Amino acid sequence: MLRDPGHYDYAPYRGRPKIRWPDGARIAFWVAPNIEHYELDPPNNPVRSPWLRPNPDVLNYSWRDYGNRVGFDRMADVMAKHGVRGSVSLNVALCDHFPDIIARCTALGWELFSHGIYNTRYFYGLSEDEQRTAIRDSRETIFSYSGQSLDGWLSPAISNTDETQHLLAEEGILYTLDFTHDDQPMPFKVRMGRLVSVPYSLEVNDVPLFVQRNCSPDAYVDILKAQFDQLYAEGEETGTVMCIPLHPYLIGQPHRIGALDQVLRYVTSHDRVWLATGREIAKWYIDHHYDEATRWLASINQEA
Amino acid sequence: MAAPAGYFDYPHRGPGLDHNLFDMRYLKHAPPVQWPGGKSVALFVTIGLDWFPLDMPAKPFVPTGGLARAYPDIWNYTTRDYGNRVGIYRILEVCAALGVRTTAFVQGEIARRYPRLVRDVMADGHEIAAGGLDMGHLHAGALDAEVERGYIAATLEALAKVTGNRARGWHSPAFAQTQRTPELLAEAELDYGGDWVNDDMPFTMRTAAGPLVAMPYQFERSDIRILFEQNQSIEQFERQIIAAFEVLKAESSPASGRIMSLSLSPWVIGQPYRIRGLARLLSTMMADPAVWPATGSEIVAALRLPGHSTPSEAAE
Repeated sequence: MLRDPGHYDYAPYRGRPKIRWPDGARIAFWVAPNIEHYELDPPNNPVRSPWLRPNPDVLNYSWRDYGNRVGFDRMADVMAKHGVRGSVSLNVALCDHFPDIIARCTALGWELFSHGIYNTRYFYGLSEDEQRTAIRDSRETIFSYSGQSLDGWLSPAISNTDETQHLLAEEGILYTLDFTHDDQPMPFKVRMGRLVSVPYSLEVNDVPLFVQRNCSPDAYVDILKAQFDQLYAEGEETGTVMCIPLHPYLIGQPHRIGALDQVLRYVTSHDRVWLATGREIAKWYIDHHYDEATRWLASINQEA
Repeated sequence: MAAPAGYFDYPHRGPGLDHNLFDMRYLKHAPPVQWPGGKSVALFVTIGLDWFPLDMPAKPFVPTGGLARAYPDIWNYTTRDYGNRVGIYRILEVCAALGVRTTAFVQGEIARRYPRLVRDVMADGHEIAAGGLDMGHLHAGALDAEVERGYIAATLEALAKVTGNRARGWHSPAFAQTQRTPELLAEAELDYGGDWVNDDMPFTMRTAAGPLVAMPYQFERSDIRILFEQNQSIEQFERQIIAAFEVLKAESSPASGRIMSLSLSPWVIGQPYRIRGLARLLSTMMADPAVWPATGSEIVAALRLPGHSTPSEAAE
């Protein structure tokens, strides 16, 4: 076991090189719907049992199934209404199971990136070659259904191993979302190639908020507005990133969808917001800030 | 390191769901249904009349509200039983005052122990449906088929002995099913079941014993979920129920009705400090001219599915 992940250098928030987003925007704002399929009868994994109850866990399976049958369209309607595109954290087998959902995502101009094959197939315990198999499957599946390149990655159920980030870089993926160590993109240290981290969130993610912290929709709105206000203010100094991760089985419930509507109306009422996708943020950062950040990180950590 | 055996086999990876219990259906493609009287929202209030035994087993799992303290867990036993003695009567008063007719999913052990309660609920015009034997008899995991068949038969028999009728609807204790439950429910000639929380509208499950209607019986906005598990206030519960109602109403029309499911447990919503909240939210919905308060059997009848007769049609 490692004592630290080893993928990034320490980078104090104070005194960093400035990030400037397109058109003078203070904040790169992106929405990441997790469009997932959890299998009714998945194979067991020695590290994590997929379901809490004995199979078939009808309550938990059908709760998530609601997201694909009902919640997805409700969520997509609200996003489209506010002109906000999604960057889909996709269990790629969903392309094969529910191509109608994928067709709507691509028609809306959304990015697809991989969140593994199924959310019931973890990376825990997989060899490097096995992980590569899943990464390549993701790339081929997303390309065949959308023509898009696989540029982003969030490990299924965030079940990554010590090797995962290295493999992502070697397979040509641009950005990873597995790490929540920052509010700005950061260069990643990998054994070959190049990888950047783009801020995702487990703090303003609907799963932790609604399921673990038991927030009401009103509390959710308050939290997301406060998150936005602070990052928008800080973005005057140097560009920030705010991601809202969503799960249609939660946010797409009729008692919660109004909360998303309120948050997106609030965010889009500000003029210095870049409504971006994960890929666009990663590419902008790589093209404009990566080299400077790498030099600065080297100098900062030399001092130490 | 290497993957567990079969970890890269995806036997169901292809169009549709990963099982054969029913077909994938997006709500936007659901066949439109028309409710009686040109109403657009069927208000489907369900009440769980559950009995939690003092000697409740810890396996296969302890359901929400289960007796998780050391034996004898009098704290939880009596807090649940309060619902069957006191809380339910508060709900009945609220419903009677507002003209709300509900569907009570009654457990077999309730019918055996408290037949008076079942008769009172029935006398107020509510549908008596089946809720399994009790919270200590879960339909889960590798439960033997004959044993499970026996649970269903004993439940229906206990209810029929009190009501004189065969129940038409079923809700399994704690929303738990085995892989065989839908088939056994169809075999027992039940019309509908309410354990799958994946839709806002009914759909048909296919089983070796014939079709079974899966009714939307929502857990995520139930009183157990929001008030007990999530520990939110009654005011927050009311706001979320009304928000859900407004969204479902906006998605509905007389030509394409929707169902507003509201799942109640007397031991939760029947507490004195919460019951006025139920009265407020029900009166808001009942004041809306779009609303049709309906029981499970009435909703199934209005779907006009082939092979499902209705009590009124049968009498005609």
